[in-house]
Amino acid sequence: MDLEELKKAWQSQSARLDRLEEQNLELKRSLRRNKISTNRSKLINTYRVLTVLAFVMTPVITVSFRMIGIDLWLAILYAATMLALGFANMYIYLLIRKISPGELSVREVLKNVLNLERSRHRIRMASMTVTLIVVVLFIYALCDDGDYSMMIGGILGAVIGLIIGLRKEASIKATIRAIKADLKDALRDD
Amino acid sequence: MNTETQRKQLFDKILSEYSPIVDKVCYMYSTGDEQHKDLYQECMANVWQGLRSFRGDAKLSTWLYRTCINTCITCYRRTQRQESNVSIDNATMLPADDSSRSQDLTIMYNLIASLSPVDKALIMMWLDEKSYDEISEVTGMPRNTVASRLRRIKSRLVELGNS
Repeated sequence: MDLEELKKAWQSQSARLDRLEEQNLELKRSLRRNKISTNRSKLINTYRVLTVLAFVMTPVITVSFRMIGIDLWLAILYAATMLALGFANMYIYLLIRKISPGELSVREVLKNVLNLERSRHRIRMASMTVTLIVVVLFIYALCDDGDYSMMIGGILGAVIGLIIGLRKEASIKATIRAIKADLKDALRDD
Repeated sequence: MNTETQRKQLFDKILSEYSPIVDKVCYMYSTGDEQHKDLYQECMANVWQGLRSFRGDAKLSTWLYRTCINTCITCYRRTQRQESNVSIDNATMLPADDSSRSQDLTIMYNLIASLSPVDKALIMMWLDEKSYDEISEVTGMPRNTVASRLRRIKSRLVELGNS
């Protein structure tokens, strides 16, 4: 196998160009009309919305909890949880914004993506734990006079949610392992 | 920063002159036609967005390589686990003029597809005659590392190709 020959063949490839023409035309139209957005933009928008939602919900929840007669400590606990989630989402939002494919090198992108996935994993684990505790406390506070049917239902729901969350986490962990391997590969030989 | 008109002009230039680069990069990171199409669209969307801040410090082709490789490296994992077997539709991409060369190229495509994502990036840019400095700029690896790794990848490709 002669690599120099193959190099020439690689460079002269244009067989697919005619196939690309139609696709390019369609892409051009869609991109100019903002009909296509990147995965990164979608993630940025999602976390932007989640951040705003968490910050807006903090006072709303505190006030509405007090209005329906929930204990002050529980209302404060809920508000603090929402606030923490807001800051966590903002942190993730900033991390995603940092990963600009046109400005960073492959190594930098891999480092940043690894950092992002690790942070998302940690934040999700922490928020799942905190949410579980807060939900249980909330249901406990709502149960009156020894009627614990609501609490049992709530705990069941929380456990199902936890199982779904943990399954999702397993796939995220696999992604983290793959990025780590790629980063290790990119840092090899230095 | 580019104005909207400059951005549109640059994008038209990329579509007409450089889309084979984007196509080839996506090809090497995809495991099928459908994924290739998705990657190509994602790369082009990132290029369109990135052109807003493209200042022209690097060559357009180098910047394109960086954008596309970074996009592919961060996107391919979603389907990577579902489709672990690389299947490349070589017939649509290879030049039909010389059958022995075409066969060699088919073999090479399959060999490159089996490399790690970072090694793929290195060899693709080398095949497109990018200088070590440009490859170093895109990958973020020191120049010497690029040179030594490329040496190793090339000898591995030849060895595998001859076996």
